[in-house]
Amino acid sequence: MRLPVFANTGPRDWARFAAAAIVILALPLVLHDPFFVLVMQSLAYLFIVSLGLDILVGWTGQISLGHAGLYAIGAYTSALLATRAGWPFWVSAPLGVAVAGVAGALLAIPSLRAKGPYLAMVTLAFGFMMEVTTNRWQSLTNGPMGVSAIPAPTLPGGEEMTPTQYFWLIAGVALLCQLLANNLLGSRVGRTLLALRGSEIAAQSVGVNVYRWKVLAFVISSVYAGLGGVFFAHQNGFINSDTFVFALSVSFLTSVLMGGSGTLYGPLVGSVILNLIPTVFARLHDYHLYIYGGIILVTIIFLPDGIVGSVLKLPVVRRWRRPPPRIEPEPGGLALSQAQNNREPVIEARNVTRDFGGIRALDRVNIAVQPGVVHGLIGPNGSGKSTFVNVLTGLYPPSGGEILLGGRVLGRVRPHQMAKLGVTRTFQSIRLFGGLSVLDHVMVGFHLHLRAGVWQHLLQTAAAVHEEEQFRRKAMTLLQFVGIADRAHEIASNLPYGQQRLLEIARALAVRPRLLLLDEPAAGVNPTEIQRLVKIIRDIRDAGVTQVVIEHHMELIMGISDVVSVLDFGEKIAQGTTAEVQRDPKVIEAYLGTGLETAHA
Amino acid sequence: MRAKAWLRTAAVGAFAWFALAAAGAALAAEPVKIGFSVSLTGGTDDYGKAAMMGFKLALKEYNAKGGYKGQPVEAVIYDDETKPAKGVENVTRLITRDNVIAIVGPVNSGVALAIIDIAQKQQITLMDTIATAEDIIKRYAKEPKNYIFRVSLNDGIQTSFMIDYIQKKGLKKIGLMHDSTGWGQSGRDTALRLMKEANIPVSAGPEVFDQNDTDMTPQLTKMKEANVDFIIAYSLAPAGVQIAKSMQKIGITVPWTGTWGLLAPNFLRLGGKDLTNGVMAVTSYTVDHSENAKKFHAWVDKEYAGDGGDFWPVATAQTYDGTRLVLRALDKVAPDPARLDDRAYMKEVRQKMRDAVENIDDFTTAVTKMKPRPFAPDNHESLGRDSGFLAIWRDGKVVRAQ
Amino acid sequence: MFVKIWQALVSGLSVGSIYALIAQGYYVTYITTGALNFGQGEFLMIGALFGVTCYITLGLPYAIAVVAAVVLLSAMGAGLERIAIRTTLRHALSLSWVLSTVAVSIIVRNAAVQIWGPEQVKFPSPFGDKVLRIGEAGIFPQELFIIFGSIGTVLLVQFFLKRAVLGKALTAVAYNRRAAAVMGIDVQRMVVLAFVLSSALAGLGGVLIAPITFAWAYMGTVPGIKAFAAAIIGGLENPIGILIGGLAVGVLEQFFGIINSNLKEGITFLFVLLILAVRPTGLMGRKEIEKV
Repeated sequence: MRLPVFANTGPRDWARFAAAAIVILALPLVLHDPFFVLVMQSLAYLFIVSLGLDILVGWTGQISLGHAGLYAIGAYTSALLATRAGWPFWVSAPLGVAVAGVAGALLAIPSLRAKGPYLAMVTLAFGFMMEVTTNRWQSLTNGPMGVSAIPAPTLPGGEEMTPTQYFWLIAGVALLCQLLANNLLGSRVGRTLLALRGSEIAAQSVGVNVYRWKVLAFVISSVYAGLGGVFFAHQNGFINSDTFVFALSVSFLTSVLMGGSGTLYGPLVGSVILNLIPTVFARLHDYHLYIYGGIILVTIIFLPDGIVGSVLKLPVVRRWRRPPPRIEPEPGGLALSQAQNNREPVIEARNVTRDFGGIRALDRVNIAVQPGVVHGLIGPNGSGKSTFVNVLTGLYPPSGGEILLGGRVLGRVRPHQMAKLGVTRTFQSIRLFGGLSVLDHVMVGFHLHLRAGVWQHLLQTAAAVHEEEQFRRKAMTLLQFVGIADRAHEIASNLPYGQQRLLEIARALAVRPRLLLLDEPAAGVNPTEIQRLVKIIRDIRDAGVTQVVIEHHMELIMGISDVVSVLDFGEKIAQGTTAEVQRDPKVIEAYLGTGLETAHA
Repeated sequence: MRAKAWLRTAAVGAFAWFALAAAGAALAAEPVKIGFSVSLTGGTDDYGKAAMMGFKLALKEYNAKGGYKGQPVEAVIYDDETKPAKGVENVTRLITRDNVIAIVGPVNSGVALAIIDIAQKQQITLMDTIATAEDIIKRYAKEPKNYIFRVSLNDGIQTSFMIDYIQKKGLKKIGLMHDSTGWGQSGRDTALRLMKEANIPVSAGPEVFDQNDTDMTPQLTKMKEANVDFIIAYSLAPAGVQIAKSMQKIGITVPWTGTWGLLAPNFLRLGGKDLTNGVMAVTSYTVDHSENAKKFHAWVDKEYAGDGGDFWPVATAQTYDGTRLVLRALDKVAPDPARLDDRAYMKEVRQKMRDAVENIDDFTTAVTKMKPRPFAPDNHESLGRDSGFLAIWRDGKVVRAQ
Repeated sequence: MFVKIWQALVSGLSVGSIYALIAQGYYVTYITTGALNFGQGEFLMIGALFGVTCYITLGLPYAIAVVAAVVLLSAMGAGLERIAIRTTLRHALSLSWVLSTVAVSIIVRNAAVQIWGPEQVKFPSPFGDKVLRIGEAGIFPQELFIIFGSIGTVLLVQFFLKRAVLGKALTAVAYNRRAAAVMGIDVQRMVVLAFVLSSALAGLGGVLIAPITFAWAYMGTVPGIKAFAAAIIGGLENPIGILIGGLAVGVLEQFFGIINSNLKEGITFLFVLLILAVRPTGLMGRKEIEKV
């Protein structure tokens, strides 16, 4: 029996949330003290902010040192609408959340391409901008003198909520926030975000529009921050520009790390503990900053996985966790390819040139890949093979020349668009997605074929859950095809090297490509596994998928290729059947004393 | 690897212990308590630290004389970190958990504006000894019982002395600048209002600066271009020195004035005799304006020799007086310490405390310029027009401006 | 009008050269470890306050006070590397050094308040307080000293990195860690050296600016962040970009201060956001091409 929404929430989950709801209801009644109620209100909304921040930090791998700014936007919007325009909480609050969400989308723009300290600076600068703006734009915010007499929400009867009722409201919403976050993060959305965190380039190769998903993460995170801000404003009754400072952003980030970034319940644990600390140590006012700074340091140094992350890693807890369910492969077998009945070359490079600074990595290369073949690409180190693959998959735009796909000239196409056009790849240096399981890697590979979107996953509609199940079976089929189905639930980075390469192939096949580019699939793979690899490549070809294979392993390339192109110093020096190429004097010269002779032997 | 796992377990354990300790700390009962919540870190922490000296001295003196019915009165001190939300938390905590009879603080006007609502609603005396925003007292002045009291010269009174001076000297072109804190901005609003009432136009500004700004030349060049003959600057001492230095830089020499912040000894220490010469400021207090003040100043210097002595005399003196007013009210109300755990009784005590503070009429030992009856039902400002004057720096000394 | 702009330029260069000096410290550690000290401003503050102790309290000559501050800060830099950097570089969150250095800065600032108090302390300039005139613009001798001292130091650091044996080893580590290790360079030592150098620059900055800003526990935060902004604007990997970025930020603030003093504080950050939206590695930073 499945509900139309929250279809994936099992009886155990419901029991857990019911228990949480009972605790929320009982707490203020048991600890009947206005101060406790005030503190618990604060904990609840600060938790909401941390939860949202973790979606950005723990799941997407971004950082925000400016979350106080988003929090401020929610708080000010709702407070100003409530005090100046006299709108009720129930109208001003959603608007505050919405405006924060829009601000998050804007903040995402300069954050998209910035990395490392640059990204830190973007968010930091945003935070300071908000700090200065709220201080100086006095006609709007009244600066440090602030907005006062912000009303508490009203009940339907028109009277103001008591602090206890307000706590129930905040904590209830917080519970809902956790529930929705669990839905999101436990589904396709969390998986895709983790994929971004693991490797943006690999995520793009299976069709994930990295920018759009980052914007999404920023928006979700901002909505949570804005919500926290709204609750804060109506709790405190007064907000001013001194509240939303850098230190607040730092404390949000610390609570996420302390709890355990990238875990479902880390933000809850972290925000509760971190925000209780100053309350408990309030009388030690001379030392509370030492305590606070010390706690941040200890957390980062000794608890890199946070409290929840560390607990989950304890052997006892790991044994106690439920084993993952067994998934049967799809009965129908394998459908690898998008239909292609075209006679044109699948992809064609015409006079393609690529420069890096003063260095010409590719020089007027002409290569046409015919449908249904395995097209080998060889050449000495630095001859431009990988660059060629990168140009074909849209990672680097060509400096000159053009690329035709199915006979049509392509403009500037980004990697995720290439995937949509049916071109995908594997990587010379393996690019897996951090902590994702083997199965989830293939699920990310299905990105372009999944229909259920963010909203459906947010609510866990029956259709979304059904789709996930169906595709999990398909994923098992693919894993079976490459021979690693028995490891489906392991963390991918724990696989041996050779199996990681096979997993990359399975992930790429999930795209159902017309053209698959394998960049040195045999590098670092042991001989038995190479036999398996050869068989897989042949099976893929027999299923109708065109392949371009870059390899140094001559035996492999000569064994599987229908056509071989040879690059040297960025130029194509030969092309033909394996036999033709092996006889070509230019090729022998390029390889003199290196590969070809040994390959013959 | 094992060692790491141990460390991890230990860290998790430490957090668990901490949670238990937190729960334990919540249970315990204590004697008569006064709450004190000010900024001990953050933007206005020097005020907070100076105020704490006055607060502690008042309590020390009281307890040395036997305390309340033989028991020392206990201080509960919290840091509001110059954050309004933290101030709200502290005050709520003082009222509901710590069960204090009255609260002294805060020092920051922004924080004050946030917490007066709670004090008023929960009916507990809040003695503001530093924050100067007018609205702190005004907001509940119309209520039958205002629970907020002040021992400090509010912005309006301070500014009125400047207006008097401008009118007396017949100055025409006035420049106005202020720092970006809540205090600076409410000072600007007060000045604009009073100048409008007195029909004095603002020739340059209002220009804003950050209180930590080290170069005010852009702001002051505008004053120079407008040819002002007097500048009102809502600035604390360090920024005040920067103003004086920047004036030197761009070669502008007009008299200028600020509020009591510029009379801190720090102003002289940072600026030196030459730079401070001729700078004016409003005050209610100088360390030698009465015998009481002289004695008090010497005492602070001695008690806090290690912490820079009496480094912010006005703040320390006002808080000392404010705290003593609360303690005096305590003696008048004379509650039964054994019954303070009873919420209904405590509520009654707090209401009586307010009435007692309002009606004190024998406070003759003030170190500030305060009347024996500092407050009245219609007046919760203990320091008024007759408590203050415009002072001027002359060769490193503060004297009355003529 | 001209006088106003000229004065803003002169004042801006003096403030900006300090940003440039601090930012140079970010550069040195960024190229070697990819991390930087978010508490650089607090380190600068310690330099200033320790300078006061040496110069005023102990009555040592200015030059000795400068050296003493630099030595103390070098030691703090080594400590910072050990506590907050080495422990976090392999952390799950790639930017966890941000938080660990912020944590150190919180502790350092609190310690400073307890040791030196919350108040500003005067640090008299060894060059006196008599205003000099450059054209119509006024400038304090100390400010002039700051401009030349900062730019000189920046050039000296570059000279060290390009010419001195130790500096070249550091540059080699920055260029390619593994290759440097193969060549027999002790990478770990070079990382420590980078943080020592970076912190020493902060200490120097502290003693240089204290006569202008006063020395106190909260003096460092804003210059630290603005210097970071300057480094980002210029491009963290480009020392010349950083120098220009620092000066530009200083001048920019003064100019916008003239237009409207409300804009003075925020303009730098607005500028950073606009630049990074267009050029994600700063104005003069290397365009990042990820090797695949």
